[in-house]
Amino acid sequence: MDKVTPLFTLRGVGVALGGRQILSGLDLEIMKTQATFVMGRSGAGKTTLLRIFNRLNDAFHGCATTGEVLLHLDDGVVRPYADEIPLVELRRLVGMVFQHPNVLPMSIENNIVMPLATIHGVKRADAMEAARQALEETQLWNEVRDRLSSDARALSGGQQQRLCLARALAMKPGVLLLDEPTSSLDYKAARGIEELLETLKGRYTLIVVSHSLDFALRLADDIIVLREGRAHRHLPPREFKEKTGALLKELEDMY
Amino acid sequence: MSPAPSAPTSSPRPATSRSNSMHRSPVCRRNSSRFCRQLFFDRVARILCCGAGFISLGTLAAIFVFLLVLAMPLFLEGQWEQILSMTWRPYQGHYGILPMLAGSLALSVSAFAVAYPLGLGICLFACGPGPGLLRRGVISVITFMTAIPTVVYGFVAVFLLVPLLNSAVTGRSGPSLMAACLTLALLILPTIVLFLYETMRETEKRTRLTSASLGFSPVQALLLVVLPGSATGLRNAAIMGYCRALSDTLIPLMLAGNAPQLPSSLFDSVRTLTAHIALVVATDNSSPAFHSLFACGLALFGMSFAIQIMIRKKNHPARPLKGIWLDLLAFLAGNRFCLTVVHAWTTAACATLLIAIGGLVIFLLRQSLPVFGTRLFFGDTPVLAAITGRAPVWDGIFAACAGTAALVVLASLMAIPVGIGAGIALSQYLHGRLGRALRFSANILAGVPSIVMGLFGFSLIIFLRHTIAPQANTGLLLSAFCLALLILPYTINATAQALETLPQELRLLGPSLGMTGLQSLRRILLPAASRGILGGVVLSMGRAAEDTAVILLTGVVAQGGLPRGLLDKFEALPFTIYYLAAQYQSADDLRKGFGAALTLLALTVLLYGGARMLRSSLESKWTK
Repeated sequence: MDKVTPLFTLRGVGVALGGRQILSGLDLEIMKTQATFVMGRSGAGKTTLLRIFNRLNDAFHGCATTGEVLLHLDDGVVRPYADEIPLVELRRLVGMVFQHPNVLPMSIENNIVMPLATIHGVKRADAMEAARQALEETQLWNEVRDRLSSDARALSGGQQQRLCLARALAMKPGVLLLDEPTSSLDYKAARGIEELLETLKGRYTLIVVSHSLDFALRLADDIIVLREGRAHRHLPPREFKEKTGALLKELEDMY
Repeated sequence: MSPAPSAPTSSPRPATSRSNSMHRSPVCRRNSSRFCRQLFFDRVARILCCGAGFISLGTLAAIFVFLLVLAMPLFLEGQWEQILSMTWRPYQGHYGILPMLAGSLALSVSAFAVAYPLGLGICLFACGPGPGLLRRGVISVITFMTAIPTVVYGFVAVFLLVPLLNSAVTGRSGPSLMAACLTLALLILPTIVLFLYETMRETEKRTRLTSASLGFSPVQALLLVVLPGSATGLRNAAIMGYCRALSDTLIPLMLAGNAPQLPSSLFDSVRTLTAHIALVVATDNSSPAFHSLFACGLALFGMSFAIQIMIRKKNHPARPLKGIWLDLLAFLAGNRFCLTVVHAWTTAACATLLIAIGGLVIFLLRQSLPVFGTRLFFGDTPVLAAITGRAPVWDGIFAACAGTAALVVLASLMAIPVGIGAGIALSQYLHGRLGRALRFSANILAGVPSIVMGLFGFSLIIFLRHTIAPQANTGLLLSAFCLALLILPYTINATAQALETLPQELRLLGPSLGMTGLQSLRRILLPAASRGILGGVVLSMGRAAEDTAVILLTGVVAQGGLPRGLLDKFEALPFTIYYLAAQYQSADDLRKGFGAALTLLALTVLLYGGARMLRSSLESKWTK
């Protein structure tokens, strides 16, 4: 996997919600196993852009996605929006972590085991093993191993977010969508999540919406700056590190 | 869209050896047969739910068509002039329904004129600066009132209000427009107050800090900010309350006297359209008298339809009160004398409410507690033998209790699965114009007067007799079916609302994990919404237990013993109460009536209380 190849290709993609154009004219490539950051002001359409990749915008009524989205799999190219890959299969391939910790109102282990058992029909013992691996991967295992059957909502915000990340990882996705995963956490918990994401880099294709420029400069291979529904600037790999000053100015202009 | 650069293949491909690669096509996963099964079940569930979603629309259409077809002979034979006359004397060939129309209007308008100022006063008190305990107490009393069955209001009014009115005002005996008007006002009061209170409390919460920072006193804030800001609530509470007054059957039937004449004073006897249908049905089925009933039904149906269309406008942005009303309020708030009057009015409204409901409950308890015991239920029959059905019960209300239980269970079995399915379809699958139309039809169905539903059931039997089953007759199954249609919209709306008020992130979670719609529903959404749905279910069971108008036309009898089969006639608690109020022969009968009223009240209070507890525990779960 030395050669960088694209995973998603967007050509002239636009999203309209209830007749209002949120995004338009997007031409992007998301590279395999790289970390792509999406930045921009509130309301610029970052979340909508993220939800293009797992077609979650389709869950909203009156939402229309135009243009062409290509998904490059190892054995061919498919167009998700032409139903060339079943919707639920696409979403199983593309995991997602939401802005606010989004735990289910059930026990910690069932937060991971229930979706696994429901979707993949995994036996409970196997699902438990997968849950343990995922919890270890998100460095939560040592904190919760003694209380796996207690309510997940009793965990702290940072722990809940790591549980959500573990739940997404347990589904064995190829891509992780992260929608401002640290914005509802305090500084320390946010640091924890950021460090965790650094360990995941290289193994997953990460697409991250973030407000933190520091974090982006540390982790990103690629930065997309959105402005009023368009990709205002798309900095290809390695280029933006020389252009940090320009990027800072760009962001300063916007905020 | 231009074709993809490398030819995309959508057909399933055999599993490859590159199982360690992350980006292989998921189509070829090993569990693909399982995946197909998941999609299949998802599709089946979607089709079933959407099918259920159409039931409310189908029912509405069926009601309209049946009423129209049975009223049609009138229009075809040119007898509609007869119908639109002032005289109802069926034996002499006069079939005018205008007196009933006038009676309906007179009663509903007068009851509304009493109830609305009362309700507004109570709401102002409940949102005002009074002691918190008292304000919450008033709202609790109003909430309790929603659980009191209509027939219990009627029964107590017959034995408490009518004698009071007679001795205090007229000296004349017997029921009158006045008695019905006051009772009906009490009946529609909770509808008005709860609707208005909800809006006013929301407005108050929203504007509290602004008003306080501007230096308004609580009373000024209430009159100048909260009340003008609740214009939509004022309007909708009025419409809902009036609709309830117009569509009620039992209060006019029990209290208004039922003489088919134009009322000339408040103490005259009147007959409403709803009571007219209940009185005349099942006499004969060929004369214009019979067909005129369906014209009455159509008129009621049309009125409730029009009212629903008026309410539909509530979705438009709320318009604040304007012009003259605002000036009036400003004048009220600025004038000390007027403020005193407003204060006296709100206090008097609450006092009236407390006296009326306190009187009702105390009177009922005093009359019925002494007779409450096994004798009330089983008479002289041994309890065990009566319950097992080995010995008939002659002078107890056991058979009526059993009949009501059978009705509630049957109606729930029919309505609840369909209602939940339809609610799911409305919240998950059907959107856009079609979804709105179906939602609208469910709301109209909820507003159809129950006597019209009973009339629909009756016309269904006529239809069956003329087509496939000449022996068809009214009975338990038909009553349960019509009750199911009556409570269906409650279940639909409760389910749809419970699912829609779930946090958006929870609703997106299932899809984002790759669950099918059905999996997300079963594992995430339904468990999270279960209490709200259950609350709606219990509430509709309470509604099924208390309704009298439907069963009146579809097979209830006064003396029938335990129901022996689904097609058999049956007894029911609300009908027993109604029957005993009108036809009691002895003091013993009367005591039985009071006992039955308390039993029914206890049952509905239990069901409504359960529903409220489930609801509020759901709210606290998701709002914290």
